[in-house]
Amino acid sequence: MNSKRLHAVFKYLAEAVNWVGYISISAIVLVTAIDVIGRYCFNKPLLGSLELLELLMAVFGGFAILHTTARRGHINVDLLFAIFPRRLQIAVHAFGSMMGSAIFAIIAYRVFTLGRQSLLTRYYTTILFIPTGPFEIVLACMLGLFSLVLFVQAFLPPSAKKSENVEEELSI
Amino acid sequence: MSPELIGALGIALMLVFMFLGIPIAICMASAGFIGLTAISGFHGAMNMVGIIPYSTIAAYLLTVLPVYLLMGEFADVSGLMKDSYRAANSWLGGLPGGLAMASIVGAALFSAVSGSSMACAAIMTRISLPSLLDEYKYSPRLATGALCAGGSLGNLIPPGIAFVFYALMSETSIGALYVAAAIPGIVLTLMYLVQIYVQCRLNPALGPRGRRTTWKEKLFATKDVIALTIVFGLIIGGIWAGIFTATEAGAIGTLFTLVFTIFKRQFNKRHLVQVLKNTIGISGMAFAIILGAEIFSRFIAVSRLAVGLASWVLSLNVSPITVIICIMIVYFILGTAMDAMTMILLTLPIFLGIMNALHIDLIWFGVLVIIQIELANITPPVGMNLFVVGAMVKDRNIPISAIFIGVLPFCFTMLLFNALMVAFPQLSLVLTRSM
Repeated sequence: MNSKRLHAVFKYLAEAVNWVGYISISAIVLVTAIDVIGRYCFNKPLLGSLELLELLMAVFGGFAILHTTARRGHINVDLLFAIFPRRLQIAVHAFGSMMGSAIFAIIAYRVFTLGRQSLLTRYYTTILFIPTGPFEIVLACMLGLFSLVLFVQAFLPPSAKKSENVEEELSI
Repeated sequence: MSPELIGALGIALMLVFMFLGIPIAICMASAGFIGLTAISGFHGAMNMVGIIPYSTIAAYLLTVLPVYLLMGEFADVSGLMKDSYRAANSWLGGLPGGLAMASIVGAALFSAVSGSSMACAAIMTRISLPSLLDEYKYSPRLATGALCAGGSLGNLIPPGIAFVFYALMSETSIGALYVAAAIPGIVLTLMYLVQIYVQCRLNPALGPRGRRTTWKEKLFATKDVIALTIVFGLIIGGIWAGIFTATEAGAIGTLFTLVFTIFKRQFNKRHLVQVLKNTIGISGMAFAIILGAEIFSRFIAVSRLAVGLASWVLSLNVSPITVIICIMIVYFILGTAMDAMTMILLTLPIFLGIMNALHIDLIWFGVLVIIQIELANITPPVGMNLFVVGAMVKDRNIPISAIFIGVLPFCFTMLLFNALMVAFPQLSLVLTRSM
């Protein structure tokens, strides 16, 4: 499978798992709102809401980073990059992607080992007793995929021209 | 090689990566990791960066970011921006330069539910440009300058997204920062209005008077911004009174804007998917940068460069206010050539050490930093708002140089505003001290 096709697969996967992001961000808002409404209207705050939010953020954060990477949504300073010859642009892009891929592969590996440690030592949250290990491992997997996507992107040319539509560019 | 020297080299390396065009998140993470490896060895670096992702992302403080982004997205699809511009126009349109003033007030109102300068500038340009240029024949310089400046309120008026970055890096309360920015945001809006009024009184051709509206029309248009006022009141009032944390206020605000979107019959599957997708996309970009910035900050901390610099500044025996003014000058110079967020992420790990050593209030400093971000966004030749507005008016044959000239008076106003904020810290601290 060539890198272009592999990148398309990653992009498709990132789109397909978008629902995880949709659900987690909706859950973050709902958990917070239920906690506030419960606290002020019924004098019953949601038990362990803070823990729930932190665990949801681990899932949401990991998926969001992957989603943005697959869509090449990370920002850069393109002041000089824009005036580089095309060949130099390709070389710089490949170098940056490879370097990012290597660094985040190391980080993902380390997060994974820490997650496994949390699982083995049965590390739980203090109020709801939810094991944190699986969430650390989910985040590690997302960072690992982030690294893989960057690796694949290193073999693809950088986008030659940015979108003419500014609002599309800003996703608004 | 001393750790301090490695720290300085690490900053240089990151700058090289950045100007080569490598994504900011990767620049910071890579330079940070390489620097940590040089100081503590590979295993030491791996151990240090390993704990950062989970502790940074799975943090309650960070939930504030996607929640406010979601609120801003709902506010956009519900048409709140259009409503706020219409309301401002009905009150101010009849004055000299009234339409440009309405763009500023509209942007200020929208900023109360959205935290992005560029989004604010782009949306306001889309809404008000046709009437400014085609209908009322405003000078393109004043029109584009006002639109760039209006965008600069996006981050300053709470809930600004840049404050989340600052709060994370400085470990200050995001709620206190939002409350502290409320009065400065209003003051800057008023200063922009006065500036436009004076400009148009001196040269009426810049911005002719618009149509005068009746009281009935004014009141009718004002009812459209009631929802926006309620959301702003809920957020700032709730945080100030200690009823909500910043995240809670954002979640309630998000639910409110969602209900408002349904009420305005703008809620459909397409809009919902667009809102969620945009929130995830921008959050992902922000999370990656925050992750990179945390790794880089850890490297700066380990290198003791900030501590060394702070000791050096202390040894100079200069007053804290002199240091603040010097930092503001550095930011102003950097801001003319550097993207605002890059500039802040690069300098904060160092400047925060100095601020701590001088016992300067980090909330006040945070407001000053955000003002600098916004000033950098509109200072030629490199300013994101300038590029956003420039790209949107390209088909009207307005050269970027016209925008550069048009925005200059707003830059001077902002410099004056900055001086005011440095001279009177009470303007930002009066509300936080009463929290």
